[in-house]
Amino acid sequence: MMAQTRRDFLKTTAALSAASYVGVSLPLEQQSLVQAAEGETWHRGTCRLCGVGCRVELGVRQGVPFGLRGVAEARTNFGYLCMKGMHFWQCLGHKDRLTKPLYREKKSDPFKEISWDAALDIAAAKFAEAVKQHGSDAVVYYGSGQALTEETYLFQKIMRGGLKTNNVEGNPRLCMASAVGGYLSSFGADEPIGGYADLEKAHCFFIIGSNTAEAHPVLFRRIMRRKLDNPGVKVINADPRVSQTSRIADLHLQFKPGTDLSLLNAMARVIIDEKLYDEQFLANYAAFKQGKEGKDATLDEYRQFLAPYTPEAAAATCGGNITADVIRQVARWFATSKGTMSLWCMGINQRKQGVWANNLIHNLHILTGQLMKEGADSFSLTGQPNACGGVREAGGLSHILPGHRPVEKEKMRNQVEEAWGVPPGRIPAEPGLHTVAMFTAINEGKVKAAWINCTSPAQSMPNCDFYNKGMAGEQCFIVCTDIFKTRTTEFANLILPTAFHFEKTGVYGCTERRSQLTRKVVNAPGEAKPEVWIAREWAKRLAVKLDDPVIAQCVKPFEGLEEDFALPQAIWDEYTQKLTKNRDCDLRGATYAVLSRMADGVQWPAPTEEFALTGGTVKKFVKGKDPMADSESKNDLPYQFYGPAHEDRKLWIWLRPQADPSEIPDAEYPFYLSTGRIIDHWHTMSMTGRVPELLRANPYAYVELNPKDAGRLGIKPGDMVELTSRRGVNVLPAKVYEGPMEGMVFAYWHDQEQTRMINRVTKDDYDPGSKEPEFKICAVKVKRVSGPVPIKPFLI
Amino acid sequence: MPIAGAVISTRPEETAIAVALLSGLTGVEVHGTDGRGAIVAVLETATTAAMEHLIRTMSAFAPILHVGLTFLNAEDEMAAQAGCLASRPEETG
Repeated sequence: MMAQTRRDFLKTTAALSAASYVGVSLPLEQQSLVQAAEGETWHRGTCRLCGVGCRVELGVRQGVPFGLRGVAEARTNFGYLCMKGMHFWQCLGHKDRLTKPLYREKKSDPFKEISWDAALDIAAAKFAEAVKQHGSDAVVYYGSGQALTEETYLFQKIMRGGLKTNNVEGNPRLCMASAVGGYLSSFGADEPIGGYADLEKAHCFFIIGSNTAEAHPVLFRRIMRRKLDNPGVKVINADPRVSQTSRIADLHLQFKPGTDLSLLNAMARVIIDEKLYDEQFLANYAAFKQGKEGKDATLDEYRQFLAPYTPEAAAATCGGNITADVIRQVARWFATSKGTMSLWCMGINQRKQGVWANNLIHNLHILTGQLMKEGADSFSLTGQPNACGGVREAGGLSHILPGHRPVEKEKMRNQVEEAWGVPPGRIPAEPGLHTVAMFTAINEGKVKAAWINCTSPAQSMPNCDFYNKGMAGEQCFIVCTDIFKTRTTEFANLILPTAFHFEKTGVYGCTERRSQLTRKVVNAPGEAKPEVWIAREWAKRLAVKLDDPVIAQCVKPFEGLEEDFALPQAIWDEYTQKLTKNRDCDLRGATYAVLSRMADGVQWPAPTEEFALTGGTVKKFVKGKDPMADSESKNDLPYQFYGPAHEDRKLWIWLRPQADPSEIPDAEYPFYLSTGRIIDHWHTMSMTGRVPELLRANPYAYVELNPKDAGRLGIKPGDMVELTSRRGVNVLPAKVYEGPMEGMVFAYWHDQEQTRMINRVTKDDYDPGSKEPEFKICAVKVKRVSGPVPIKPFLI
Repeated sequence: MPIAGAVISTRPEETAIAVALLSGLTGVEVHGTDGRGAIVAVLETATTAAMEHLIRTMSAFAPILHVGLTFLNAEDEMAAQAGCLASRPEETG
């Protein structure tokens, strides 16, 4: 028998993990030396994938990309990249890229290639016809947190100022809307106060509803480094599932899905009872609010409200491994550390009570004064690379105009109309359809023309089969702009091929309010075009077909500009110089000239180029660090909460009770289902599924089951399992391990294959405030179907 | 003693040069290449801080585009920090 030391075992495991990643067997042959190539250049940009905003350099030789490396000086990633970021460049020259416009009159017809002229004429004709016959609200634009800011801004300008509809939405409604609602209602302003610089100063991390290790790996690396260098730093991970993130936690809190509101209120109760709150901070900066109307409350009323949330009661509600002592310990660590950062993502946002859950995290920071100082922040992690910059800031949601302006305020609409040179009253007074309402309206035949840009709702919508019925129908003409075929292009009448990252120029704004520029470096394949050109040319034709010169006015400033640089620059200049001026997201200093000089980019507010060149505002609301805190100052206090949503300029502590998820397990559907991401794949896998290294790492979805549940159900690893909800069915191979708690299963949502597309099973009930659906919790039944069967990965 | 599995990206025509450079570094075991620019290696250092330093050193080599970890075991260091483990005898199995 061969004896192997532990060290040998670990080294073999390490070697095998790397070898399997690149798809080779050990031992390996070494290659002979060859000459290095000439004419190689490196070009700076931002990663195309998650919300971290890693800065990268694309290596190009004779017009062909060959690799990617990190930018060591960038304050987002310090040169680190994750495996997805390292490989996304392979999409640039991929053989599956869409290269020509494709059209079919009926969705049952095959597609045929047509010219750009013909395609844009058709798109304009169909939208014009819909408006003439059914009114402006019969057309919609559904965009993406992966579109460049210039693209989102131009499309929403054409829709609102041109076609007179606020039916402008984006997929961040599905991921970040509750975070927006939480920030606005707690702090009076959207987006985090601090940024990544706080990671290296924090003494306590409270990571809740986030598998940071897999969803934001480069930030997780910074957290892990902080902990390893400073053993006294505490990491608390609150998640019903043991994830890769949990492995560095000092305390992992495992609770029944949806009971975390009790947990957070109980932590607040401990903080109040043990007088761990910051009285001075509360007196200077906080107010208490309750109810739908935000009625004023007092600290005493808050104390009474928290009375039922004793640690013992909360532990009973939460179940799992939560005890009263653990709640007390966590609350004390949170309150007493020299700097506490909370980080959360979809586990908190994608909930029926997502805004409330966000509020309760903010409550803890406001109570304890764990804000404003280094290492302390209430930090929502953004999922997509440009959900913040493009959609939240530049007007990509149905209720928000560019520059964080609510649609419902006439003064705000008038400011935008004036900036655009369109008549007052042009922008409708009511918000447009939110995402679920939009796709419901498509189902009901009320929407006659839809433009879907850079996203795949046919896979990403919860309860997707229900909404796919409408998209499949002939009553709605669908235009898709994308780089690859997806589940959604299957429902299109017109598919327009777009340029990809580094094939076009534009800005992404990441999680920490940092806007960063990526310039065009290589040509897009075939006839693929940048979206800003497509939108401009479409608008010109719309103006003719609707005989409406105001539509032409919307794109007049951009007429005749070359599409690779001058056009996006002009769009960015209009947006930043006119629409962000004197707003909390002031980006006037972040011109293309400034952004081009930065290793990374600029954190807003940055009203001047001089300030922008320093990197911008590291901490909002702090005098001396935030130029608007100085210019908007109303008193001598060091912090000025000038956010547009709170007239009293206070931070609000909300009295929010525990409320159950929309659907919880019962006798018929006895398991919780939670869904999420894994490190190797991105969203609907249309990109990462085409990178061999990433597909090999995770070729298809599986369902995670707790070993005790698996034992009871007679399910072994690899067995095929049927997951059924009231909405649909998936059949997935089982992964049996101590990940989800008992009574819970987990599946990731990337797989495009029909029987493994988990959004056929999820529920589409949504937060009444943010309208964000509750992807994270629904009820399913679980049944063994068979032993292991051969499975192949699948891509459209 | 942290141990890591690494995929090191290079330009395909410079892989051999990169292998030669890496082979001279203490703590790096090159197990081979895939013929498309990726080098498979195992890294072993005394501490995770030393491993970070090693990765930065490797990244600075001209032919190397990126060093990515596919596996990292740092249990000994974390346990030592928790005060539970001073040293671990070699285990066999």
